[in-house]
Amino acid sequence: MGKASVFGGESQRTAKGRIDFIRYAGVVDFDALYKRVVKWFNKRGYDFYEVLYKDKPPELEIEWHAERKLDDFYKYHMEIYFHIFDIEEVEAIKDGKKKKMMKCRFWVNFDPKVEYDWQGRWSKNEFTKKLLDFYIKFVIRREFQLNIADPFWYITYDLHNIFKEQLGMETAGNVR
Amino acid sequence: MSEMRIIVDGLTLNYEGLFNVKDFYMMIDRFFWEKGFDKREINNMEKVHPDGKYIELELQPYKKLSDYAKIIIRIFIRMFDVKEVEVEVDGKKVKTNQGRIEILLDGFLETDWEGRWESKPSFIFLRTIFDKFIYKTYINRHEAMLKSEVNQLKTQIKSFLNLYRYRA
Repeated sequence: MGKASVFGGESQRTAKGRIDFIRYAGVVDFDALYKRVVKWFNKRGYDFYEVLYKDKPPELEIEWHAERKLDDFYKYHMEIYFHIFDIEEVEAIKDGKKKKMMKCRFWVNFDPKVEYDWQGRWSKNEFTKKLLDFYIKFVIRREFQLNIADPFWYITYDLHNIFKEQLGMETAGNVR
Repeated sequence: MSEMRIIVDGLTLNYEGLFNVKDFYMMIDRFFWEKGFDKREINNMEKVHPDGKYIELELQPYKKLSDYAKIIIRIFIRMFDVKEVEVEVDGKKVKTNQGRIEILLDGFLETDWEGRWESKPSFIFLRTIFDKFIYKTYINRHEAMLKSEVNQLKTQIKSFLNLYRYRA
């Protein structure tokens, strides 16, 4: 089995090792964001796991991992990492109601990956592993890029847009 | 490592006045969608200050021209003191934004983006010879295409911002 990063792999990583991020400083309705994102994953048939929840006030680190089996060979993995700094609980009025919100500096990044041969059928010995590598890199490379990786790329940007909308960012919106 | 050439380096645009941030972002997104570029949003930062918002955006949409060449347009956008204002347009009150924008455009041509010709030093040498002598016509064509796309984007941005200059 193996994993291919949808966002380009090692050569596209920033110095901090994380790629494609959103940063926001202001008031955030974290509860509403959390619920909306979990609902989004559940609606699309993803298995959602909260891998890390490190609360060390005024900092908070969260890591989410969602996966979905596409078929008996491919699986989508979405890793979302949050780092929230300078958290201060505030009361704000949203939609005419008083609500507890979080005034903070918010950093989230997305790392989508596609796993092939998630059942490990081709990883039983070295010969079948090499055969699988050859198959993925040369035989079905185009099909993998067009039919498997590209749609997941745009699914990630849908999720990216949900974060921007929920945070109330001016640059929310997606033409696709 | 693939071969990356800078074709357009540091084309800048500055504007101060009225504009709509959402419409501006959607205009750029639509431009790349219509031109067949794949979306890539590296960094999107927004800070809320008492004087207005500070928005920083780094986009790197790309288009694969073949399994050997790819063009990338990098856009750095910084918006300062972005505030929501109400203006009157044709007798109607419209909500828009006011602030200062700085835009930096770069264009890159990436060859051997799949990394097939970098496993051995002899392959890298062959790739260099191929790029300089055999594939030269195509490289020039790709470079011309990239310059044209960047210029079209710059013109589109200028037209969009000029529209707001005369609206209020």
